[in-house]
Amino acid sequence: MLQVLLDAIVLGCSYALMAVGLNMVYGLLRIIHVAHAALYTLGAYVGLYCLLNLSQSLWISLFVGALFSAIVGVLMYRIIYSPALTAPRYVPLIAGAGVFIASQELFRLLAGPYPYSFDAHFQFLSIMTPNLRVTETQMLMITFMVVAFLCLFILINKTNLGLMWRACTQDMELAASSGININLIIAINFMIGSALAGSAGILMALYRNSVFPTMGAMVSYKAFVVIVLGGFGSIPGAAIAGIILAIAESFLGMVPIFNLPREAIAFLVMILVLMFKPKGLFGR
Amino acid sequence: MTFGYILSIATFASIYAILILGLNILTGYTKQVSLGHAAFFAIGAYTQALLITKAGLTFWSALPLTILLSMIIGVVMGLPSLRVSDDFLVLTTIGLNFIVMGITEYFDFFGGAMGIIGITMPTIGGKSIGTTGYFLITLSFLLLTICICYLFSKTWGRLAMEATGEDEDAAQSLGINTSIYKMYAFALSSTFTGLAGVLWAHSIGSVFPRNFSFEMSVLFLSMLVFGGLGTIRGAVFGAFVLYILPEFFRFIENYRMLVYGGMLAMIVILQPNGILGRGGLLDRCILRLVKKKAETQEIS
Amino acid sequence: MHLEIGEEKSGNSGNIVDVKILTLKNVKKHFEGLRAVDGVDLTLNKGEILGLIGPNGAGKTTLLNTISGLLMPDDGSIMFKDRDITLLPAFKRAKLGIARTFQIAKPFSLLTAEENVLVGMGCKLHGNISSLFKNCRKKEILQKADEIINLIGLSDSKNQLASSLPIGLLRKLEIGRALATAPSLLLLDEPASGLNNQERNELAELVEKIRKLGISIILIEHTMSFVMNLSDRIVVLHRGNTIAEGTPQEVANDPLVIEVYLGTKGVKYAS
Repeated sequence: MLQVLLDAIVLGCSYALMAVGLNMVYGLLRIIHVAHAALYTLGAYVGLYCLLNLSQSLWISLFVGALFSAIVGVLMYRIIYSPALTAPRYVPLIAGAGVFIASQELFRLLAGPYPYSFDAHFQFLSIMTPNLRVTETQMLMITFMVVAFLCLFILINKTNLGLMWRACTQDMELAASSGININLIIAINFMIGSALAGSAGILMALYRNSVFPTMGAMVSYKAFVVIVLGGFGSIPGAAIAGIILAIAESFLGMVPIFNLPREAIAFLVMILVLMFKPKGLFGR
Repeated sequence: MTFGYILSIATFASIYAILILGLNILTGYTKQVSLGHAAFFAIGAYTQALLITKAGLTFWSALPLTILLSMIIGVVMGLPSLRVSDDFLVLTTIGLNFIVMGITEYFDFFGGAMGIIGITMPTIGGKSIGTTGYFLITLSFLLLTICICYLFSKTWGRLAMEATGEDEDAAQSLGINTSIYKMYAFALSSTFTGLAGVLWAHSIGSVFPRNFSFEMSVLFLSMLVFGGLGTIRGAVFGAFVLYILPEFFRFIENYRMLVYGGMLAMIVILQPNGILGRGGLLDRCILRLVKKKAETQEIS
Repeated sequence: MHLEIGEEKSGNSGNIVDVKILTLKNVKKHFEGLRAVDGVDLTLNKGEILGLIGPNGAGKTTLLNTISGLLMPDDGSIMFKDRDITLLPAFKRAKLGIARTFQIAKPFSLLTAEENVLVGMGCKLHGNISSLFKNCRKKEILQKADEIINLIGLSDSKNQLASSLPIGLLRKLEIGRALATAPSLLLLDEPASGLNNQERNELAELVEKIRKLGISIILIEHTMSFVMNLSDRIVVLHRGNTIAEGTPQEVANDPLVIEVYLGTKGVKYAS
């Protein structure tokens, strides 16, 4: 039981890391960033390439993967979202979905449809007791998430940059007229969110020991569910809801009547939440 | 390229055109973006398949039942749209797609992952009609759908739907009960989509859960956006072009989703009104031509 | 302090009938501690043009929204033609005869100008299931739409998509669309903003024409000359409260109004 819970928490970390980027973009631009999933897969592939060709170190591949995702994330904003900001609201949404689908195919064509294994050797803490096994990878994921969210929390609440970011989420025009470089803020926003998505991709690739073109799909659908549960635009909400969702999926899947596929359960929960609490469970 | 092959392409293109006309009412008129229309398609196809194989009905006797049921389920699936803002409706429709796929895959009643097979071709007067006959049936349903959609585009209902889609506050201030029109749109849309599902189930002869995946929903939306949101000509054009092109250029088959995805993004950013939509590419070209003509006449 | 508009007003007031078409009692609307509208009483007579002025953030648009039903008041009651409409949703109020325009023009951009007007004409039918079958392009309906389009002066561009119209025409189109619902009360939210002088004069003529149709009007406007010339009566809102009410002259000479709102502008206007 404890083991199931632990596995669920690890899974929840990846949901949360994905959802936080989505939530940051939604909080700032009111766009549902469907193409976010592409960055998760991209991070995993770049990390794998790095590991196979450049260096044996997981840390370097994690860094390079996150960096690549961050750059591509900003490019995505410049190319597909920024021209569509004044257009009707379905435009950025459909454009994002298009890029997402295209990216999956691009990965398949470039790297082939088959999964690659992701073997990295690294030293990290682990717990091995008869009742509970926390592998190094699992420990790494949990630590990474905790550190990432703490940094983000400090960045947003304690720094000048965070203040500007919060001002932009309140009112973009007002922020711009009070001298904040909103393009810079949006770019940083995309950079951070994308880097987190990329690192989530690498960590999950490490955890599952596989990298494949459609790996981003499921986790990104889950991330949608998470931002609904956690409340739109709320960053701590995303962290909590990510873990809650993963736990709920794992345990509901054990009950015979809920013997539906995990994503069906997740979306069912999402729709019910949207119906009864349209602003999300922890929404402001 | 044999006659039979062309016939089957034409049949499927017509089926997709019916489906896209249905999607057009929902996404083109009330701007409720559906990225889960494969679910509505699945409901038509599965209902018909069950009525034929389990209840022993024929094509003609099952058809009205299926269409009625599609409409009802469509309205039920549309209920979240009353509570959810437009951004999150998209997530809801994606969710519906996965839920419907999950249900068909995991319950034996729907045949599970093995699907339902043995959906026979319709007969007329006890005689099998063959692929040519079936194409003619599909074509006449397409023409019927186009006629209904054309007549509908002249009604108050379409105006109210478009008003709802563009600005709910403004629509309300003109006496439009926006919730009701969203439901009407779901009802009409799922009716036509259900009809497409029925025709599709019979022409394939079987239904499987993976026929109705999220990728299909993306394809449907691409067809509509490519042709032009909110127009009949755009919907039919989009369905035909995007279905037929990859069939004739088999070598793109491998890149199909890449091309669709990329095109969807490009078209919607550069030409939000599609190729044949209002204020779309064609409209603007014509406008430019007319202007040029007028200018040359002035000069001469 | 002398206002020229005085004579003109007395000529117009003949249209006003002493029948209350709209009565607001103690209407309140708060947003998380911000008292946008804080206990406003207001009456409107049939055929009257009421100017609603006040500095930015005074609660004018919020008040208008509570009348049109876009917002539900937190407290108080709204009576329209002897009927309590406090809890009615916006679309039902529209059917009863309250029409409005928006501060930021909200045309249906993918419909032609004519179709925009048609949407308004369907007001009474909208929502009915028969609206899905009834043709809206019958000859007599189009004729009636033409009358409205001529009234607002848009006949040249009636077949253009609303997205291609300039702001001046959009303002008129919005008014035409509202008129098409056959209202007895028209709420105009800053109809002259973004217009040049000529367009503003045309708009003033249009408002006069509308008044002659027997439609009561509540007009929010920042352009002083525009609102002072058109209105029979002015209500000044400040921080959600009514601080002055009366004829344009009375309000323009009210020291409190000059102090809190008109400021230098008011002095300039009055001199």
